Amino acid sequence: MTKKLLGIASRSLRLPEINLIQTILRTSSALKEEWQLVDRGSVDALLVDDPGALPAAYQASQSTEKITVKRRGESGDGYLFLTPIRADELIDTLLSIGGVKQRSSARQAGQPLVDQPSLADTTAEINAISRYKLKRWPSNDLLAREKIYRRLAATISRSCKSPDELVQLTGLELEVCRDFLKLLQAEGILSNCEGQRVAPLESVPANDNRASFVKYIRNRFKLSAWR
Amino acid sequence: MIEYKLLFTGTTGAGKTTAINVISDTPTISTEVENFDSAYDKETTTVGFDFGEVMLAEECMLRLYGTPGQDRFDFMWQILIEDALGLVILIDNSRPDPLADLTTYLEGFASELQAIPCVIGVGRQEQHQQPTLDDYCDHLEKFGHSLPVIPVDVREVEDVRLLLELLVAQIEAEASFAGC
Repeated sequence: MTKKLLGIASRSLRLPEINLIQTILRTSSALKEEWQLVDRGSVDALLVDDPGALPAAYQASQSTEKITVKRRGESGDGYLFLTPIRADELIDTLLSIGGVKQRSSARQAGQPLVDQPSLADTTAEINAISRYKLKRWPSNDLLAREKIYRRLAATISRSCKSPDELVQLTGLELEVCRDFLKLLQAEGILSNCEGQRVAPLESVPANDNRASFVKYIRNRFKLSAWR
Repeated sequence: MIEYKLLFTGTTGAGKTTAINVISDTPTISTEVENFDSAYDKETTTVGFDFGEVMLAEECMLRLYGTPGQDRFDFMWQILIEDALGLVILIDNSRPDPLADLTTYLEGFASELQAIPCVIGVGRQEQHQQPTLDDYCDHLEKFGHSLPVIPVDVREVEDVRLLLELLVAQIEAEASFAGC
């Protein structure tokens, strides 16, 4: 298996933090040692302070993903790496980048997108208090596994939700919601909402109006109730 | 009377009128005329908009609007989308470039898509398998969207109900945890 290469071109990360990143890459069961830290050459992903600048030691190609290092509480576009470091966030980001690259290279080679993750073989980590949102609508293969998955996916297609919020909204078992999020994460199409700027909802009627609408339309068309 | 509104849009022949007709309580009011546009194999086409109604409860009405199919009437889109709770985009996979068709609607409703839920229904997908549903998902991802994409036959009430189901799931998620 070809390892994916991560470079660090951020001056704001200190040696203990770099060592911690190295440890995460080596020990995370979710990453399966697919990522390796390098200090020069061509890389798949690069931690940077400024996405526009590139240090001479690294060669970035069009497919190199830049991950901007920010202090927690700051926002920015694209992939973000927030300090102080949280391992689960770095893992989420690298899984996400890895998933996109895998899909992209399979498609370029004209190969079908096989190797859909199964729950048994995914070790993706879902943080109970993190909120998640879809980056891409899931494949039909994944959605076909459980009838409820299509509606669960719609729930996080525009809104960020934690596993607990999904339980509260749907009445489903926590395990069902977590398993679903794990599958999405393993497919690389789930983003962790922390640090992301979320577009404000505009021009929508008051929430109570929408809640009434949901109740009425479910009754009228006998749409599936969650519970 | 409380009124809610959903908008159906899509290319000529994608099935907007049919979809509204399938769920409307009343026969769809269409401003259709004889089609003289040889590019489209259909006898009539909508030049104004389609309109259907569903009584959801006493004093509570859902109004269904369909945009005109031909893009020379796209000035109507902004009028019809106003105050809509959700948008259904119907794409005809038998057309020459369905992804370009989708782009037209993603760009035409770009600002509204930041604010309201949306679902994409792809018609004639069984007979015309390219682009695939995955291609649509990839295309949407390029625009920063993760909207639901499903194959539909809008003559089937179950398929139209599924479109509604996925819209409602999004609306419910936002109504429950506003400002997420």
